[in-house]
Amino acid sequence: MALFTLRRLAIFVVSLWAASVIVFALLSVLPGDPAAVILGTQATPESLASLRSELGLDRPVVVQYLDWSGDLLRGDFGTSYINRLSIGRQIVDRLTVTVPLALMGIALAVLVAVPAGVLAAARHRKATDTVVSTLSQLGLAVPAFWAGLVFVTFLAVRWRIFPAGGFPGWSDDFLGSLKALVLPSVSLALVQGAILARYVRSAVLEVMNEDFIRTARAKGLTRTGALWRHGLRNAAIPVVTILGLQLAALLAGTVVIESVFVLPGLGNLLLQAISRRDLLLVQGAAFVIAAIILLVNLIVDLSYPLIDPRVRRR
Amino acid sequence: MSDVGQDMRRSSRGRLRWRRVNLVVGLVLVGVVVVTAFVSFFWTPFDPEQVTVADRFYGVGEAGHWLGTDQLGRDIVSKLMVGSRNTLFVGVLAVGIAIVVGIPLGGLAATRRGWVEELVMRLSDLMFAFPAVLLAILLVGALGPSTRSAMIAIGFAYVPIVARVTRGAALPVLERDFVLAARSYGRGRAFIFVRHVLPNIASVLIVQATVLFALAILAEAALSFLGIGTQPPTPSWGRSLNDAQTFISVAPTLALWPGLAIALSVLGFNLLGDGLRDALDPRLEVGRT
Amino acid sequence: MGPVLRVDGLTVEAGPSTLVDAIGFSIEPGDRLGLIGESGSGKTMTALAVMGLLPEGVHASGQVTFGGSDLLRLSETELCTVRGNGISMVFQEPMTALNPLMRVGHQIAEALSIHQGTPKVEARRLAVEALARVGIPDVAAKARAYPHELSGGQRQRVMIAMAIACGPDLIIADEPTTALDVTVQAQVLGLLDDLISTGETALLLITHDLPVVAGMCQRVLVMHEGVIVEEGETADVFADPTEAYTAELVASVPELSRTAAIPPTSSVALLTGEEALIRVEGVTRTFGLPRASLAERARRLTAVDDVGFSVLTGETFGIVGESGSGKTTLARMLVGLDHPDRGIIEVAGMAVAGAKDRELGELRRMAQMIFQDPMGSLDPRMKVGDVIAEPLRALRIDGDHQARVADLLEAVALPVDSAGRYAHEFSGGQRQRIAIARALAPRPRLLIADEPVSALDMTVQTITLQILADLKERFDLTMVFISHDLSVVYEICDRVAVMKDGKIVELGPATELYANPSHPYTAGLINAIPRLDGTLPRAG
Repeated sequence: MALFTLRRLAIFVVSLWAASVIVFALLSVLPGDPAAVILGTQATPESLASLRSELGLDRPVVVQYLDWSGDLLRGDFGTSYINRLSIGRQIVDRLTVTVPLALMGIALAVLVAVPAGVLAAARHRKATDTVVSTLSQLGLAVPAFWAGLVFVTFLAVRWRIFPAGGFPGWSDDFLGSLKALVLPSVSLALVQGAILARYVRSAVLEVMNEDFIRTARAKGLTRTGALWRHGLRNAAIPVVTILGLQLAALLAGTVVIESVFVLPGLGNLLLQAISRRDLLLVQGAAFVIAAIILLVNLIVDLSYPLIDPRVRRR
Repeated sequence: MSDVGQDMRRSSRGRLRWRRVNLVVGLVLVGVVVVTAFVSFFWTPFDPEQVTVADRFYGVGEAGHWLGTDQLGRDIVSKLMVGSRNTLFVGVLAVGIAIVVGIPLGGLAATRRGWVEELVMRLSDLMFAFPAVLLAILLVGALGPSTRSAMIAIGFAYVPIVARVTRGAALPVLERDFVLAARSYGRGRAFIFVRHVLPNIASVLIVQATVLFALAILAEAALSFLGIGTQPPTPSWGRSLNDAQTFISVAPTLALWPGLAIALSVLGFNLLGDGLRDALDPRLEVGRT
Repeated sequence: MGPVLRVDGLTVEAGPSTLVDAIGFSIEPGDRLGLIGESGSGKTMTALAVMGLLPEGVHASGQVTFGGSDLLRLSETELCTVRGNGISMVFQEPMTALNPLMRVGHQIAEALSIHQGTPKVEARRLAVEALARVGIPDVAAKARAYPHELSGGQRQRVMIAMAIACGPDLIIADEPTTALDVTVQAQVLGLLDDLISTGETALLLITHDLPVVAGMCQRVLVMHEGVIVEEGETADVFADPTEAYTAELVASVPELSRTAAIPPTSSVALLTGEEALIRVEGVTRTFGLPRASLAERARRLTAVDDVGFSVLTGETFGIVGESGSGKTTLARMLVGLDHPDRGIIEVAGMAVAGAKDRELGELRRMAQMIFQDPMGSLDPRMKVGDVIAEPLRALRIDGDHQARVADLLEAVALPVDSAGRYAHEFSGGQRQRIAIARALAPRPRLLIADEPVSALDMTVQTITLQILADLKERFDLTMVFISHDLSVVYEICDRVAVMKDGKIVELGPATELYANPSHPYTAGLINAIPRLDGTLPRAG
């Protein structure tokens, strides 16, 4: 168990490093000169050269990477080329919107999809199953941002139940902030919930075909009893894996959803940085997103031995 | 246990009819998209790029425009028709990259085991930390917005998925004795993978490809909606939704049509995938104990 | 008092096909009834129909009377009070029949709390007692173990503990020992025998294995294609079967299982003075094991441990051992599919151990292999003709492939038009013959057969062994025959090596070794074989 945990931790650390290399490489090796972007049309060869040396862009790529990643280790994301603000500060600010949004989204998805999926499996090939399967098939096909647009059209613009966009800030208006996240998180949960319900349903169905369920029924448990006492925990193993992947997808989804609802989240920051070609900020934000996903995967991995005693030996 | 096995096969026949519904509906929806894209090369009701500001925001059926016009007076049906080309192009490109790179990688991991497998799997774990949309945003950030670079990013983001599915499906096949038999008469790994393993996992890969096709359509729509995917004047359903957002209080139905088009094509590919899985399900084949 | 279970006109149908056709039988209290049949005979379906556990889409009709009510007409809730309480069941696969995520003690305790409402703590104490009754050592610790931490035999004991927990009137055991090694089978059968002979519990024992029934049951039913073809006292039925099918089954029982007495004189003239075709010396093969904890050092499993022997040209050399004895690893090394850590393997003078794949071309033409699972050893996406011709193409052997395929099909007694069909269109025995034809395609001198008949029904085993023996003569083969089944090895082999924990513990001419085993392990193996005359083996 200790070995298992250590191994996963080591993989996590190595992955973090590799992610930083990928993020850095993608934005450094590819064409595009931040100095030219900052100076725009007023650039002269001399001013370019001096700015490049000020920003450290004239050094070899490897040195630049070591510099950047060394600062990262100390928690220093650097300062934006464009607005001269601390990048770390900006990212933390944005996370207070994005993280609650993603958590609300996944919580909603789990709360609806898990019972629905289990119910569909328990009533396999009955009306409930058909309804759940059809709904999840439809939910799967709808782009989250389009669902968001439709919600805005009806619930915000037409009936004014929820705000159409914007975010008042947690300290200024807590309830208002919460309300601002409702429609975005529902849009996110719609798609992820549909995916999750399908997985839960098929995981439960698969487990219910296992020999040990037959043993449990031969012991005198009803089908439902066997499902509750033996089926669910076994079905949880593949579902936890999917949940980890879904959180990643959800996080990527927030980029688009934040744009629909004009929320000042991390995705929004990333898009702004891209359009202004603020490469250092892009690097920082992308690395944070990747790091969060890796962290979620680590948590998922570490939860396996809690569910499945067989994994503890590995 | 052949008793139970055989009976399960027989009892699944009833399920087949329901499964066929998926396949047929999926084929029809996908067929409509393909035919529409094809027809749009020869005929559309109006010129989809014809800007007539005076004709803007026509409603459904007004002035011969079946679904009305957009903010620049362009015919919505014509735009949707031409947009379907983009949707298919996007799917083919992204899924093509994912398959061409992913299947050999997965095959390599499955047949070589040891450190090669460990490396491929760890790399693909790492790539999961860069969801398709994020990777696309980064690449577009570096190369500038275009459908092609967005889809290359999406395709590469799907590589680890294909590699994992390939490896996962190939491993049990490689455990089977016919692979050992092939090795015992001197067949190499590559030959065994191509001739013995691939045909046996083709159904899994075909299903995966259709699912990724659907995902790629969604990803392109999202990127174009953000304005960093398909660039004007190329018509794109996601791009139209971006425009529609701007005018959502003036013409709320503008957002309806491209969204429906996306949802129906995605639904089509998903249903096709489900239908194919059921039609090709190895469990329905005789030949398993 | 009437019978504990009465089955009348039980028919089991799946869609249009009838799996069990209007069968009837009854079991008296304390009685033991054997139900014998090959795969597809409907024996398992009969058991599941009685328990009300038929898979979806399979339906039963008729009458199954137990405790005064017709089980087929009970609701699911009413049935649940019978299952595990009045009737309990032991399944074949100890690997998959237990919940992997639940401690075994709790799984047993569950049966008690379901039916007797026993409080949790009390039920768990009783579960530990039940484990002690089924002969599990160190019960307190084992009750807290998860299924994967127990051996196959122990898991089957847990299943039995679960089955007897509520003191049922009837236990249905479906192939309870088929997945177990022969010595473990003997122990588990002995346990079942003891537990049942002490009470009024009746037993319905379902198996394909005639000697097992001979040792366990007074009465026997023979089932074939959904119908009971013969029934009676076990001894009478086996001694003097009236139906042709029963006679065929009885005839397929290997010689070793017929009598305890083995003819002391050798029936086969042993080869002498022939040169060795295979020479194995000091071969060791280890595999790395995952470490269980940080404190532990990296462990290695020694699958084959300093093994040496020779196989003479023209003989049939048997390697027999239980699961995990290293026999399959050894077989694979003989044909260069795996390589030893150290030691020498020579086939016809060629060094095989450690040779690169491309250096093995000559060996690949000369030595071919047959595998256990006739389902898994043929590529389902290839036509049979291509399957058989594959080695010819792979080894670049010229000539008229089609003609050779036709010859080979004829040699294994399959119609020539089989070449155009797919493997799944054939039965298990036929598929194994296709695999044999493929192995013979490059005209090998040496055939390595790894458990070639273990997955086959008894009657099919007999036919397949006969074909193998004939082909060996016809193609002038040397054969290495690997099996867990001593009786099968005895039937076909000239000399036998007995493997245990990676080592060869005994090696000698078959008849001598069986009549007069010198190693206690060999003696134990032979004693563990159930006999048709009804002597139930007792493992020491």
